[in-house]
Amino acid sequence: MSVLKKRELPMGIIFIIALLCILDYFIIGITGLSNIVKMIGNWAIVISAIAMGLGMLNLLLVNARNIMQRKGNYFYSIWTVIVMLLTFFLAAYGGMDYPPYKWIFDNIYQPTGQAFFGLSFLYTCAAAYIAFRVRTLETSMLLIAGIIGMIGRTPIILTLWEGFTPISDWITNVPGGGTFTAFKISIGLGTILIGIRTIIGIERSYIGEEIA
Amino acid sequence: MVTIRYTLVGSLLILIIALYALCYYLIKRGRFPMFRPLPGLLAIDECIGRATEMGRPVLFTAGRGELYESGVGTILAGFAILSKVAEECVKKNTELIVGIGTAAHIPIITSIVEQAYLAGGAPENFKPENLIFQGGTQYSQIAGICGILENRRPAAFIATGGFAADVCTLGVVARGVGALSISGLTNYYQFPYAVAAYDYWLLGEDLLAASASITKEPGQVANIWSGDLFRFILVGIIILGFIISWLGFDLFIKYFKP
Repeated sequence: MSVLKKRELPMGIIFIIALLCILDYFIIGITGLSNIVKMIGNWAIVISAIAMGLGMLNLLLVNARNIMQRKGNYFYSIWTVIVMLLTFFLAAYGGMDYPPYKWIFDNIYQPTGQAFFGLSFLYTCAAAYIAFRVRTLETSMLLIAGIIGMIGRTPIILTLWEGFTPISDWITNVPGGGTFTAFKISIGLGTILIGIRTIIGIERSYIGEEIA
Repeated sequence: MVTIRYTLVGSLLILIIALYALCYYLIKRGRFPMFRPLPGLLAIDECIGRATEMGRPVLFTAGRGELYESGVGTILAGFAILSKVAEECVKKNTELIVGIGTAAHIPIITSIVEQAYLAGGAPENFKPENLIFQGGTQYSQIAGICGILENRRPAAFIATGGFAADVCTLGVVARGVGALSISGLTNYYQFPYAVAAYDYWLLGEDLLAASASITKEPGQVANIWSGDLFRFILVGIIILGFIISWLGFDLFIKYFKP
C-alpha cells in the first residue's frame, strides 16, 4: 500500500488529469469535459492557496526554533514572527481593504519591494563588470556588442553620430532576436518533452524517488 | 481555420509520441545515443565536493512558480536537480539548505530531501529546519536567500528552476560570499545575467534534459532523443515555410499563426 501511495497513486492522478486537459484542448465542443477541466483548474488554485498556510507554518517553526535556541541573529526571527502574525490577523479580521493592513502593505511592503528592485540595478552593474572582463574571444565579442548596445542608447553620444542606433538595433533584432527565437523553440519543445515524461511516469524525481 | 491549426498541432504531438516509441525501441535493441556532457551538471559534484572539503553547507533553491502554470516544466527540472543534489549531499555527509520560493513546493521538496536521506541510510541527518519557505514573492526570496548566503556562508549555491530578475542579484551575492554557483533557468531574458553572475549554468533545454542526462534511463533517453529528431523535422518545416512564404503563398502564416 505504501508503494501505491508513494508512487502509483500520484502518478495515476497526474496521468488522468493531464489526459483530460489535453483532450479538452484538442476536442472542442464537449461542455462536460470543459467543465471538469475548469473545476480541476480551480482545485489547483485552491490547493495552492491552502499551501500558503503550510508556508506560514514552516516559517513559524523555523523561526521559533531559531528563537528557542538563541541562534545567531535570532531577534530577526522574533521580528519576522511578530510581523507575519500581525499582518495575517489584520487581514483575517478586516479583509484586504482594512486600513491598518492596507497601511502596512502600501507603506512597508511595497517600498521594501521597490528598494530591492532598485538594488538589483547595482547587482546588474556588478554582473556586467564580471561579464565584460576580456579573457576569451567570446567575452571580447560580448564586450564589443555591449558597448555598441549602450552607445546606441546614449543620447549624448548620439549627438556626435546617429549611426550607432541602427547598428545597435541590428545587433538586438537580428543576431539577438534570432538567438531568442531559437531558445523559445527549444524551450517549448523541451517543455513538451518533460510534460510527456511526467504524464507517462518516467520522470519521477518530483515524488521523491531516487533518480541516479 | 482554428480546427485546421489544432489538427496540425495535434499531428505534430502525435509525431513526437511516434518518434518516442521508435527511439525507445532502438534503445531496447541496443542502439544507445551519445549524450553531450553538460558542464553545469558535472559541476554539481564539484560544488558538493568543495562544500564537503570546506565543511560548509550547500544552498539550493528551485525558485518560484505555481504547479498549474505553463512554467511547471522548469520547476520539475529544478526538482530533478534537487534530487541529485540531496543524494550527493547525503553520500558526502554535507549539510543541505533549501530555500523554498512557492508554498506549494514545500511538500514536494520535503519529500525529495527526506527520501534522499532515507535512501542514503541517514534519516537522522535530515533537518526539516533547513527547508526554509521564503515568502512566495521575488523580493522576499531575494532577501531570504541573501540572508542565508551572508549568515551561513555556503560553499556552493545551486539555483535551478523558475527565476526572474532575482537570478542576477542572487548570483552576484553568492560570488561575493565565495560560493561556487550554478544557475539553471528557462527564462531567456535572464540568460545574460546568469552567464555573467554564475560559475556554471544549465540554460534552456539543457535544464529540461538534465534528469534524463543524470539517470540515462531508457525511457528518459528515448524522450530526449526523439526530441532531437523532432527538432530536425521542425527546422525542415521552418525552411519549407520560409520557401513557401518567399514564393508568395501565405499558407504557413495562415495556419501556424498563434
